[in-house]
Amino acid sequence: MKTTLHSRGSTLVIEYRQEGDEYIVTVGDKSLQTQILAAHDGALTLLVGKQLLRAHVVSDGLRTFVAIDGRVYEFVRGEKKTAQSRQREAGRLSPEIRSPMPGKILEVRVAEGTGVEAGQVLVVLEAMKMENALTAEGPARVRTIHVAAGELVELGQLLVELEFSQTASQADQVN
Amino acid sequence: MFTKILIANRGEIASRIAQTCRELSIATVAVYSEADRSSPHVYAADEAVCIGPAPAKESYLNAEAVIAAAQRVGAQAVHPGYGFLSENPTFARLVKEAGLTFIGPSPDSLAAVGNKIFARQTVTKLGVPVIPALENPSRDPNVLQKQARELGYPLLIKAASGGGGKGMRIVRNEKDLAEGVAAAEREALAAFAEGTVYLERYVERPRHVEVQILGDTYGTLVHLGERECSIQRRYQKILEETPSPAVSEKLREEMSAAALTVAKAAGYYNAGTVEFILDETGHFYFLEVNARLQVEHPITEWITGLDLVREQIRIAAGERLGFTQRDIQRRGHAFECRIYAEDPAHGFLPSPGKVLLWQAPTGPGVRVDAGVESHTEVSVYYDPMIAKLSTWGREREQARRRMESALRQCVVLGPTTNIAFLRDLLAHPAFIAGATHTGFLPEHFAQWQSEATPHLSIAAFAAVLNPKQSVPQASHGGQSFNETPWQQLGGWRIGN
Repeated sequence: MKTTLHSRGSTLVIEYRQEGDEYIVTVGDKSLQTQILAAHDGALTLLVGKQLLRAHVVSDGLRTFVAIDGRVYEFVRGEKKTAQSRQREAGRLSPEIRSPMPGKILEVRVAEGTGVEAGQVLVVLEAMKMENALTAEGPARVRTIHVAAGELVELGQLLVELEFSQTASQADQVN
Repeated sequence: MFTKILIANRGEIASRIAQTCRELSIATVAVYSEADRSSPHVYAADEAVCIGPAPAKESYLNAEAVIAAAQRVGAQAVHPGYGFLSENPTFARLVKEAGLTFIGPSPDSLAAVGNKIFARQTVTKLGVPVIPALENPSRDPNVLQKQARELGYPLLIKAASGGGGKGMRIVRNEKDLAEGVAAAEREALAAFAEGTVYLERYVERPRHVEVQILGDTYGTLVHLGERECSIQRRYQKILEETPSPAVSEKLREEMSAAALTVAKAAGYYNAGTVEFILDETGHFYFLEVNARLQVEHPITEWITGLDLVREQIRIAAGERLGFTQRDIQRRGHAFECRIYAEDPAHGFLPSPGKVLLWQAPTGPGVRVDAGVESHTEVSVYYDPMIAKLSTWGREREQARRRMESALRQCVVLGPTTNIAFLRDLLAHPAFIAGATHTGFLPEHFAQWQSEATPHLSIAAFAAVLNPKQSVPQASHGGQSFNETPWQQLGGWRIGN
């Protein structure tokens, strides 16, 4: 059986089978052999060629984190992806400005129906004692503002909806 | 000596203070907010008192609640750590009035050095150089614009009673002035309940060098050498070292003498730090006094062999320092890296969430001051620093290599951290050469991405094997659920 994982915008298809002490692992068009020397308490000791590697593995819902040699690899299983990551992969601008973390809206700098430039500050969010300015990724028109100054927001909450000029006519049709 | 101390802080520093207290056979009391009920600093102490809801203003910054807790548990002294109430003269005075000892300088010294405008004026009179500044910026935008033009751009806007980069802004031209002042005032007000800001000339490519001082209540005052803290993001330090690669023995003597002059004039006792800006030509300017234990104090402990918290407690208990400047021998070189739950690839945006796995590095010359363990929640309410790694070596290169190795061993799964960033930073040729300045990160690491994924395939394999997920079946019928490698090799227990 093939397993599909997503890692930082790329998709990996993994397949493995066991031959004696060895595992033959195929990731995309690459193949490698490894022996598992130990596996307990979330830590794997693997021998890949002559290289001995230790992997710490932990899962949290859909996400699986693996640490090897001081680097962290984050995987999301299956086809499920956030709308934002799909947009980022497709190189499209995000019309939805969502809160990157829980916090408090300090200021809303724009009004509905006004035009904004790329990089223009839309909303100032205070979180973890710092001010974070959320900006427009490209020139657009502010369609809807969903929050007001002083409001507490959750991670991923929709704050502002934009309408990018080149897609404006399409967006109108959707409505 | 005290028999019970209340630690008015959280995270790694609260645990670190508790450890020294235990060594001195002093009982400890932790305070915690509702968000910190299960944080490691709570059970690092002998007793713990909940002092309020999650927001710092209602708990760790609530002076009355902290003092009431200290009185209720019968503590004789309060250690404020760093941040929160540590440099608040009103708090120090209230502690004193409650019949308790504040482990730090006197309320008067705190007030004297805490107001940066006042400190600048005093220091100038002592003949210690300061950076040109505008101490009373006008509220009138037109007048302010004129004042700023006279001072000269680029300018730095700073909070009058601040620290840690909060309420700080660089303004490079006139059109950003009003916006910068407004943002700095807002941040200052939110962080310190006091929104006054001032403007000063911004020195390009400066180094941040600070001198650690220590004094008892009998007038003995010594310095413990300098620390260089030039590596900063958002004006907050992320890596420190001692000695500074830029400080000669002669310069060290001059800076230390200046630091001691400032401390003496303020009637300063207990631990403190005098911060300087060092320009490219070797001139230094007084910046401010940090009237508290610093985050980066472990590197001074590494090279002097002193426990600064122990000295703080002894001084507060009225003991004599018991050593003089001549007795202090500095040995070797030390680095500190601050591990933050933040994403260096996306503007150092904080990355709160649960630490699913924490594994601390070990080895010769490695010290770990951690505020988290596996399963600790990194809360959105507080600073996202989760641990400090420090290393010592006989010379700079050995200490640097030990830090590289420590960072490699350090495992934090869950929140994104700056560990990979710190590794790349330590390996940068300009850093290895000691060519650091406060703009080092914007200059060399502005577009940093965690590029290296040398073990992606094997990591993907390890992720697929994870038995917490639905376990994949081998394609040729060789395996069933019960025969995955985890089961074959045994011992898998998630979360243990």
